Amino acid sequence: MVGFKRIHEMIEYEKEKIYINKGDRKMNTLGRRIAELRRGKNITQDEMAEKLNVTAQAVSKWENDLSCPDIMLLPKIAEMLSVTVDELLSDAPKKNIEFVPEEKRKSIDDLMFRIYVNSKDGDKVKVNLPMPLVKMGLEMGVKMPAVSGNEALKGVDFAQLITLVDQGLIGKLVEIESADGDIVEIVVE
Amino acid sequence: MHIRIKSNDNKNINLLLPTSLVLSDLTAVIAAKAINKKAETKECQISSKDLCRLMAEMRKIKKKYGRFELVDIQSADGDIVKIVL
Repeated sequence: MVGFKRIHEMIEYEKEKIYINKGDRKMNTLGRRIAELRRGKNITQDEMAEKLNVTAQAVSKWENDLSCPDIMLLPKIAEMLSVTVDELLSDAPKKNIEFVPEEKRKSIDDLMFRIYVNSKDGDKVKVNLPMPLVKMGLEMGVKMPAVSGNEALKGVDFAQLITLVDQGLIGKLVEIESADGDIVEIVVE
Repeated sequence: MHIRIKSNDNKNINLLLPTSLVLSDLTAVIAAKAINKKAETKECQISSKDLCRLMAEMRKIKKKYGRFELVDIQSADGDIVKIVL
């Protein structure tokens, strides 16, 4: 997590970019990232506004780069869009998978295993599992479809995923689109 | 532990359960018996010993993270199910 001062600097930078953007709409701004991530999660502006206790117009203004969200809302927005505040504020393209060198690597027990299921019908399932719980479940032979209720996870080799995480890979490790149109994502962070 | 069920016809269920009671070994034994009785396949069965180990791990998680959202389900109809440790 970046420091408070750094967040302020980033927001000021975003405001500058909004100003610059009046002439160049192609630049990747905070608003564009919020809009892209929101659409990717199948969340409407109204839903987002309701969860953040703001108006839908405010969300629309953020996405059109007419204003910036309040600093206190950034962690909530980041959580809702399943990214970190750093990723939300950074205009570098988001890496789906990241290799973390051994010296910078967190202990595997401090990592979080997140399963997102977005069904074609509009149902959304989010399961957050700390890594020790996943490891223990695997040791016991607990099958993941029993946890998530989604058949698309049947073909996923979770033991192999844990090995990858052990070797330093984090991020969106799995993205499956089933024949029914359900999208399943597994993110380790 | 907080279990929140909100249906689109405004029927809400809010269950606030003492975490120490839910995650106790006694609950694990009772839950394992109930799961194995109702489980349709062998894959879904779990021994009480394994469930006790899981409960112990959950207690550690609760201690480490405090309020921790385990499951968040939102149906297209507007039903919401949330389980917060």
